[in-house]
Amino acid sequence: MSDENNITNSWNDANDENGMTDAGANAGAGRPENASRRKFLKAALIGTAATAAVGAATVVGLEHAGAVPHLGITKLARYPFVGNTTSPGGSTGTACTSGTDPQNYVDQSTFNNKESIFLWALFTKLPAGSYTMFVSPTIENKGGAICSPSPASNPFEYQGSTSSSSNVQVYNLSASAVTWTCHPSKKTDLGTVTRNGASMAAAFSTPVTVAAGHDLQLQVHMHNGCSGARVVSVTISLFQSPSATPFLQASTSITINA
Amino acid sequence: MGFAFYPQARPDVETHVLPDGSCLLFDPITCEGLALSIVGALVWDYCDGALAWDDIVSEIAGLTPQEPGVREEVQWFLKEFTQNGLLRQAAEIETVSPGSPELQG
Repeated sequence: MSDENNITNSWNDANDENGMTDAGANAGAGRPENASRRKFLKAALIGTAATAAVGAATVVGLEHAGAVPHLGITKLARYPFVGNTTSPGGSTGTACTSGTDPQNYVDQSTFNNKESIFLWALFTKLPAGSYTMFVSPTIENKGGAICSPSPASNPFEYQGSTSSSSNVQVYNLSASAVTWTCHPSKKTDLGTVTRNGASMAAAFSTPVTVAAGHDLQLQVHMHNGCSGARVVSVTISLFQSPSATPFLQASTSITINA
Repeated sequence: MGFAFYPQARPDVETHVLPDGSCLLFDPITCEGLALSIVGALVWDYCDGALAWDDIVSEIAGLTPQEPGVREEVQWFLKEFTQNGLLRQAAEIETVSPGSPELQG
């Protein structure tokens, strides 16, 4: 439940004196629900400080290690919101994978090594503008520096060679033409391709111009080229020119069998 | 005469207090989540415009006198909140020292 300060207390909703759920302006320190929350936080701090922290380990690589380790090894950690996101204007982004039968794109998230994969991203209700996309981890050209410096770094390569224009395909679609949430059920649902290329860089060598309210559909043909089982999180970032900050991001998890 | 800064959290920043006393903030403008330790959660809770910066530091540090590092940590959080735009542009409140002309007859 949220109180007037747009704060949710997941610790014990019974402690909210009024149980109100509306978010709103900061109500100040005097209100009962603020007092009980502060009381709880004070007790948490005092109780934690009173506990002996023998052997409290420092964790390497955390963004900001606490000056007082046993009061919180991490003082503050930032998490940019990836995954399926919504922009303040109502645009959305989703990512997924499927099999590659053009007559029947079936959702699939687990693949065998070298098995053909379609990586999809759909960004909807976009403001008018010019857009580029970027995929992470980098998809290597076929025969390129895959699995380098380790199999866990860049495990994917494009299905076709560097001369294949069908590795990456981009579709600029009107909202009415899109009846799916991530990928169509078959190739003919997509219509005429707007932009294609042998790689993401080639396909987006110049931004794609989109009218207000339109959707952008990305389709990437790739496969895993590194031995060994792994789970890879792939993120597609959409940039609205000329901003260097992602306008939207969408992620999907791909499981590769050994 | 001096000025005191009264930190006040932006009302649009979502705050989710977790059972262990830590909390998660979500800034809808930057679409960024921030996980705060217990100290950070308490500092954030104190950012309601009621207390001046120094008073917040003193009050929280006073809860754990056996932990001298907490004072510095509170200062650090207040600076982080300020630098990351999580606080409102709180009006500076003019404070009047006892010997100032304003208090003379």
